[in-house]
Amino acid sequence: MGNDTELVTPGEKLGRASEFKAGRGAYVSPDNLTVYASLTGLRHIVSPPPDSPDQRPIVEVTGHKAHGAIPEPGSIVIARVTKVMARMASADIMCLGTKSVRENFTGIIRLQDIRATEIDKVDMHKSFHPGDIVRAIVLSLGDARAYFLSTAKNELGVISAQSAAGVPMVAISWTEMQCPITGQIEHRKVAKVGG
Amino acid sequence: MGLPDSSGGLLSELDVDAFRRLFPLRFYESHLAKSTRPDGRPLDKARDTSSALGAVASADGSALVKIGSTTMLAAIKMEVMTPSQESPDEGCIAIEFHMPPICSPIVRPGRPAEAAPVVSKQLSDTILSSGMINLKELSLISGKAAWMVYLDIYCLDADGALFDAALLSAVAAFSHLQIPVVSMNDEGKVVVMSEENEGGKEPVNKEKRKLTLCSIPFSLTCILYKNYILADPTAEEESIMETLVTVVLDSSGQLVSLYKPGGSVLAYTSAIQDCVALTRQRVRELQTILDEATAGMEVD
Amino acid sequence: MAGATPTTYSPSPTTRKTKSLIFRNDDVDWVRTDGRDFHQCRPAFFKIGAVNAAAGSAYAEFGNTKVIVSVFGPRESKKAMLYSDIGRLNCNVSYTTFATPVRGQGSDHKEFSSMLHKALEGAIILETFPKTTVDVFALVLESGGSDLPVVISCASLALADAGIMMYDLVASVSVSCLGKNLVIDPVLEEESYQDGSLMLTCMPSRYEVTQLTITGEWSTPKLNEGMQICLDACAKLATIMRECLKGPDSALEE
Repeated sequence: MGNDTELVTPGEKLGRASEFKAGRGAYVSPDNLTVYASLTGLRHIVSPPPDSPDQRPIVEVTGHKAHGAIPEPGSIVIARVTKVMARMASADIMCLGTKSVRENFTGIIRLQDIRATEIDKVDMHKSFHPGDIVRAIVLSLGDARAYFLSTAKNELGVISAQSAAGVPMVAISWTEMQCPITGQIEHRKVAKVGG
Repeated sequence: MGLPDSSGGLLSELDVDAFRRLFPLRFYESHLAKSTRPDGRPLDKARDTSSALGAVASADGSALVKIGSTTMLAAIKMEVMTPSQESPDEGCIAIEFHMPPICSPIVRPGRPAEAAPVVSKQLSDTILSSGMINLKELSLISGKAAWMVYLDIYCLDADGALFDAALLSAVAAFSHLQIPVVSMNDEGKVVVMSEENEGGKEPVNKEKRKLTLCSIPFSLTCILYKNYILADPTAEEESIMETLVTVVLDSSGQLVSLYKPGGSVLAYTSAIQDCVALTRQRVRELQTILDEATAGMEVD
Repeated sequence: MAGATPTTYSPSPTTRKTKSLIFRNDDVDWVRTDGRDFHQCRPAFFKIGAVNAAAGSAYAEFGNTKVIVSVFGPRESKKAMLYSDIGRLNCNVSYTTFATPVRGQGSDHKEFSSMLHKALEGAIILETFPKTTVDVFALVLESGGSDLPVVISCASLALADAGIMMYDLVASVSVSCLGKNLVIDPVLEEESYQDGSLMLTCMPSRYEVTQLTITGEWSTPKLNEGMQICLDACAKLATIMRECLKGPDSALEE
């Protein structure tokens, strides 16, 4: 076995389904006999997690340039807020994880998903302004128009915002940011770094 | 435990890739301050340019031009028309620029790119006003038949400076053009003479197989951003620093056209003069590239 | 150039060489214009990553048939009004004005877009990109015959280049019935004289036929013969396509 670094293309045989489980970039044929590749890339064999009932090694195809990436529930995204309304904010998803995405996806952050505590006291306009860059987590695929996002965790929220004077602000607490030029304080749901 | 601040903090965790996407101006400014651009080019240098003649075998003249990733395919097909009464000795040129959906994520079938008709008109105007082609050379039989030259330019890959690449491909296609030898058949129609020449007809245009191209126009588009002038912008540069200037000069250095469609940066005389100087330099480069491509064809 | 655009006509000769110059109906032993055997395809050239602006792309050249395909996505579609828990495929095939011998004839092939869609949809694992759309756009630069099969094979390479998950590559080939003979990968001239045609699209790893388009009359034995010729040719084509994907242009991260 070992880790082959064999280049495969979609439709090529990776192994028998009795010996291997299909991981990312692979699938099992309808008759359940063979595992085939579904992407172009390098064939890798990964050991199964020790507590898994299925102890077959997992065969996957990786290494292709990161295309075909779409927002998945549970993944972290970076988005730019486009509209702030009474009960929700719209944002353009520009990065999936740390990688930028070629074309934006649309996301919305609903009032109840902005923070984890005191949800009934949340004020939309004290959390986000249009143009803010936020780090959020994908809650679900949402509806036809947008993915549902949430910033209800300490490390999620605004990571960059401009003051009314058009200058990047400095965070002074988890709810306040200050303009370095005018000294004016604005309210945001600020993301926590490190810790 | 740290707070995100404007100079680092959370932002320092971002990939270069992500930072470039989220804060494009800040990303560019850090390069411009060192007189360079993300692709390593100095501000006044255009991308690698190449041209290949005869890319479309079935056309009367054709060329494939690449400036960086921007790729244009130009092809000429000649058809016959009846000249107008006001100009019985002149033919006609119809130039159209197309941006098919393959060339860019912003173009969708049925929803043409905004840039396409703009570049199309710009091209038409530039080529006609430069005087590169003498319409009288397109005449076949005075008052009865003349050539209609259909020049179609397709953008195959859009990465900025579309007009520059399209103009170069148009010029290259015209320099490659071989006018078919034709004769008048019995019904008064003009047809291409076959090699066997059945019917023993006399060709109408035996001598005039190539067009004389005088005062060939070449162009350079530059972006104006604060005090910087960036020559030959990529699509990313065009989208974040919107003010651009296109200068068209002919091979003898005469100004053919100057185009500055709005934009937030004002074009002071000094900026325009700098753009013209950059264009002059570029004209020499382009002339060499075109000459080499033509010489390459003649060897065959 | 003021006023209405004048009407023009092409000076190219419109009378085709009569069929009898190439072969007579009873002939079984004639030579194709490019010297190929009846069951020999044109040499196929592929290049992936031809268009930088696209997520994935491919260029294909089979003799005088030249095609570029760009793939965008998976991306959001403004058109999509309904939520879908599987992905959508959107295809479009267009011709340049100079692709055909007479200018502008390419608009006669409006049905190619939906045929491309049918050829590809069985091979793409739509569940891997719910809610989003993959756009496949093809542009025929020069039409030299067998345009649609070349577009289909090229599109499948472009999809693989874009990292879209597929069950298998898709290869396509067509066969023309000329008198008593079946001729594979016909050129434009051969297509214009054909008595019938058969276009076969398959997923070559498992010899699964995903699309079969037939025109004209075909007896069962002739149909079987035609399909077998196509399947063999598709298998050879698939080998060339896989080599192209694994070749120097293959976009693997270091």
